[in-house]
Amino acid sequence: MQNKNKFKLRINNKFCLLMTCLLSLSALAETRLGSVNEHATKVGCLFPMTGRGGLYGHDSLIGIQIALEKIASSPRYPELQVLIEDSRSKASRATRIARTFAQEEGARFLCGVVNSSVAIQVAQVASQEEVFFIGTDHASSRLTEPLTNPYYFRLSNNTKQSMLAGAKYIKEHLLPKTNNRPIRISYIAPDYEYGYSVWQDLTRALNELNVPYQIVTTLWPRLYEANYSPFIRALMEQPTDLIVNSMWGGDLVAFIQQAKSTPLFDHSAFANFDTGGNYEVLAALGDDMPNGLIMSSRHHTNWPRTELNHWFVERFKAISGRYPSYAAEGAYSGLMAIAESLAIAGTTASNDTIRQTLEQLVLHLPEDPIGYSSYMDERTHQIQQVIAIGTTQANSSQLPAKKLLGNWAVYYPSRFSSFKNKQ
Amino acid sequence: MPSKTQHKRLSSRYLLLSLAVALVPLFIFAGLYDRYFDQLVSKITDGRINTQVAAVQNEFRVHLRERLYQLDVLADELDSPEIFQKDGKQNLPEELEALLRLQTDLNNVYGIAFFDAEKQFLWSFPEYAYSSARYHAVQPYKTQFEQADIFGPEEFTFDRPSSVLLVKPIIGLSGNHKAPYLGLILRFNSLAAIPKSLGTDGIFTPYLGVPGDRIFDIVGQPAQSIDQYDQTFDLFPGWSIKLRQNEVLAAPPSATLRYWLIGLVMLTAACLLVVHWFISKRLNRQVDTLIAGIERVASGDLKSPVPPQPGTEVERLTIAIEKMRSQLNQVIQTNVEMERRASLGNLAAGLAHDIRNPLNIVGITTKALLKREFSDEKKEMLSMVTDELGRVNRVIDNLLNFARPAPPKQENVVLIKELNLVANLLNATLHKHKVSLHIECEETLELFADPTHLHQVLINLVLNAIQSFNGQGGDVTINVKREPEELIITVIDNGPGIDSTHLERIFEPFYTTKSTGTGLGLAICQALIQANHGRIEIHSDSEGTTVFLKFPIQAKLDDTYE
Repeated sequence: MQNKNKFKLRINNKFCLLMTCLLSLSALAETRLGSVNEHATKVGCLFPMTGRGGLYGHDSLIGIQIALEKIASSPRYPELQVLIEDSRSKASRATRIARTFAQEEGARFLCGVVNSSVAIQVAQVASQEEVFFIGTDHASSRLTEPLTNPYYFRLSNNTKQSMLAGAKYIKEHLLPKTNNRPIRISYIAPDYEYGYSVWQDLTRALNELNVPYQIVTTLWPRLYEANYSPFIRALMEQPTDLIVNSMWGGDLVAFIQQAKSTPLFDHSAFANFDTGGNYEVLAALGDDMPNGLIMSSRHHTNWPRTELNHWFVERFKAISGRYPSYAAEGAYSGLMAIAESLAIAGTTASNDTIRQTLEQLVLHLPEDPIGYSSYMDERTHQIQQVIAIGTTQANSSQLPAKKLLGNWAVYYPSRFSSFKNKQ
Repeated sequence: MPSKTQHKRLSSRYLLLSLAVALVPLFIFAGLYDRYFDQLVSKITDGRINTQVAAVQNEFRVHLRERLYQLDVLADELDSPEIFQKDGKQNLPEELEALLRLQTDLNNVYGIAFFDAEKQFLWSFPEYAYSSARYHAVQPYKTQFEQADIFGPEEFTFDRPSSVLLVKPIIGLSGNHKAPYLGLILRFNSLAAIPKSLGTDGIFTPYLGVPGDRIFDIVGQPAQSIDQYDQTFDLFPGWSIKLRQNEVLAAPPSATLRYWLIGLVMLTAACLLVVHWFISKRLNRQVDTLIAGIERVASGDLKSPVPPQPGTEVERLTIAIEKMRSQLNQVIQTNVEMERRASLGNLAAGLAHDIRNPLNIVGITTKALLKREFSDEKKEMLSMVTDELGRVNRVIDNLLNFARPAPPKQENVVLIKELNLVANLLNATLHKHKVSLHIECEETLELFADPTHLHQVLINLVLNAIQSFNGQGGDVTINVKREPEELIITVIDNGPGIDSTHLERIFEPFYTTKSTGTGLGLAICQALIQANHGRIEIHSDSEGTTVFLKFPIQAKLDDTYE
């Protein structure tokens, strides 16, 4: 409560002056948020604002807005001006915009990017332009393990982390039901970098945890596939204990809607360990979301039940009238990481200093449970966070979603990673 | 025998004929329909599938030609020999890199591969999109499409989807003697999905045959077997579309319905036969019972009734036959009785003539001798002869009464008087045998009958009752009552009763159970009652015997008018 009051006071006396939305100062940038001061540190953000991924962009924008509110409320944070542009999830467009942000707008930081394939190419541009790329929504582990780009930092869990948690969940909750035989796994994922990376990370994690498993099939529908019926049929043709799905957003919604009219969810257990529990998916499906699906997300609207998470979710709802997808908290985290690093190193600090600051970063974020703070892994530039996996169950407390996750299984980084939480 | 004659019965013939008339056309129709339907289905499906396959073949060609055009566009732009070197990526201008990104944004293209003039792999864009090892692995799967080489698809693995390499030489590159090659790394699953429209109606499952005798389904999974495909359509060398007809869907639902219909008809026919068998068996049982009854009648047993079969199909027939038996029995009994009476009449007339006259002479002579005889001993002997002659005369009188009863002289008789008279006449006998006689009769009751006949009958019946007590004593009651239709005089005793075997024959003349009886008493009673338009019935059990004398009240009027 004390924190909330502080925020309100500071918003009144300072932030209202800085907060300028939708200023068309550039022919390129569609949206500018934050300070209008020309000396403010510029952050160029790339999100899909149209098409199936459009919601991610809009939620990220509000997440950035909330972060800017928080930054403005504290005198220790520097002034930031955020430029937001629609990447349309195309590498060609995203790299061109990234280069423009760096060269023409003088952006020192890039942030965002939902698509992992696009992110890889944007990261190359960032490296060439010597600007920091703070990844928020893409999750492919290829960018961070091994780390080849010193200007790249990721502020959301990557697929390696979520798959390690998923493998742990399989070992603890699903393997005991197979009567001591290897668990039969079918995998379906979008045919691009993210899908490959999730599968590679899951099989590696299963091997690392000595989970006996047998691969039934792997299926690779196109990203934004319209008709999943041949794939659903193929999944049902062979006996399977677990179907692991790593689709996200509208693809996952379309898949579940099409599969719901078939016996697929009775055929085997169904899991999506990285993004399935995203509020966007739960809201889009409403009553169509079956019970008992194993899901997780990079941020949950109903977990952890901390004051910070509650404040973030309610603030988002107050601004937009709806609950946030994980992209909002990702963008919030990215911007807070930039503000924190600049607050520590100073706005005039060299790239090396800022990099070192980011490598040592510790942040308390809405998705952190009580007693835990997210921290940056120095070796991989990958944030280390707690992952909670739940199952879908009826819960109308956050409409329009009729099902939310519950029965949580919580996995801390120290439990499955060799990298311990730094004090 | 019954089984042999079973089929000759009209009902069986009718049933078999009905079944034949119903089932034979049905089977003929089903056969014709089956043949017609099969021809129609194959005509439609073959016609449709040929059209669809042609469309899919064209779609394949269009898809690859678009990729070839994409290669041509790239070749026009990538005209610098420096790009076609091992470190060509470093020599790529920013604008060309943007172009490459634009080309690989397409979902169907994983990346772009660069080759030297010897067709050796140099590098790929994006960097991770292809490798020399992957290029080497697809060398055995090389085939030709128009001016380009197609390598692949790669061997199936669970790790990542397969790709196909479309490679074309860059013609007219400045400063180069031999043309280098440019390749598009294509998404194989996009090619495998092209035939999916062939499987939408569920009759066929389409597959894609590729170099190396490998077959993939429409989602890019390798097919299990290569021996089960019904039709194959070539795309270009090494590549083909294969169709497998789905067993379950090959027979349309209507065919299944037809077999169900035929099965239902067969079941109905079977049910009809079973019902027919049960009904036949039941009818046979009823008719057999009826025939047994008729055969008993035919063999002369007119007394055994034909068993009634209530609630059955032959109930009315059984009742009619039983009525016929009963009437036939009555007619025959009457005729026999009449003949017997006639015979007895002749016999009695003969006896009267041939025995009574000599007996009268013997009687007169004996009486004359008795008058002249003085010896007491001889007198007694002659008296005995006279008594016995009297007895013989009475027997002959009885016989004549029975055979030719005297016509009744009917008059209105006040019954109570007549009954009291009978009681007085029998008083001594009753007292002697310790028997009490009770008379129950209203004083006003009258009967139009011959009083002599009535006396004789009542005396006879009371004497029979007295004799049945065998000297043990008992009660005899004469009761008279008037019913709406008839007047009934009942003689009741509480003696030991008459055995049922004797009861049946009790009215037959000369039938007697007594050592000294003539067997004519009840026969005469019956004859006298019948002469007065009445009828006599005897009921007897171990509690006693009851004799009913029933006189119709109407009969009196008739007789009066006569």
